[in-house]
Amino acid sequence: MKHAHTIEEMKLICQQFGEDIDSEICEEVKKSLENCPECRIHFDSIKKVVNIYKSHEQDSDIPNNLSNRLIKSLNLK
Amino acid sequence: MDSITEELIQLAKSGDKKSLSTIINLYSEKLYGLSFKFMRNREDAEDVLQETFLKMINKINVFKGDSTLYSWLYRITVNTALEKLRKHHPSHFDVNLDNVDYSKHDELPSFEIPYLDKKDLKDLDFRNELNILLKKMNSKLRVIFILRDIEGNSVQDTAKILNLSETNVKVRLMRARMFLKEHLTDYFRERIVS
Repeated sequence: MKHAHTIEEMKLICQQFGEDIDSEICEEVKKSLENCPECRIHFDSIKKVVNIYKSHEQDSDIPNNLSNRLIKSLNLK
Repeated sequence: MDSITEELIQLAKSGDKKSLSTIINLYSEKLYGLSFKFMRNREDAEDVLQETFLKMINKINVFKGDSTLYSWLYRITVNTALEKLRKHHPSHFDVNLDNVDYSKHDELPSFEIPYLDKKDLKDLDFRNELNILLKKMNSKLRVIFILRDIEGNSVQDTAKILNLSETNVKVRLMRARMFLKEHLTDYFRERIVS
């Protein structure tokens, strides 16, 4: 569905993309989107994506003996 | 991190193997996690880490202590990963990603990514999909997304680490988020339809 102010609103959203998703400035942007349900959906989806990846990327499996292997390969032993 | 003392750094600068090993013991796991996020596979992540510590051994003499040793190593890890990514995916670095075509966004989807709980996030198929998308993403965008959204660096710090303008960081971050959002929207839409 096309929205009359979509491009302008998108610019507004995009300018805030470097901010933390929950920052005050982003909250203000979200408030300004109350009359644009599609923009709101879009913004919420972006926020969910960031949060999904934050959870997903939390813990990587550390290979066994990582430090020892590095120390050995760098001739520090 | 508290175990890094000025004395330890001075000993490391003099080439003391034990001190250099202590630094590796302290930071290898944390820096491996960072390296893995960029490289997306264990072998490359370890290669980056090895090169990082090799650079540390060779350059620790020029470490002035303006930042913490960890911050210094963090930057070396990022730049070493970037060098490797540039070798693996030269085409990723040839494209200009610093201009935004807003006309692409003149229609917004009405589909919203659903709320996911912890159980959903543990689903192996889904985790696989998340990995595939990060691997597919242009490396220049992935590095920004990891540094800013996953590692939680500020725009200013991310720009400093990568020697980019803050505007470029914001634009690339937006592109990265849009890339993931669009692909995940397709993923969920397909799951709901099937």
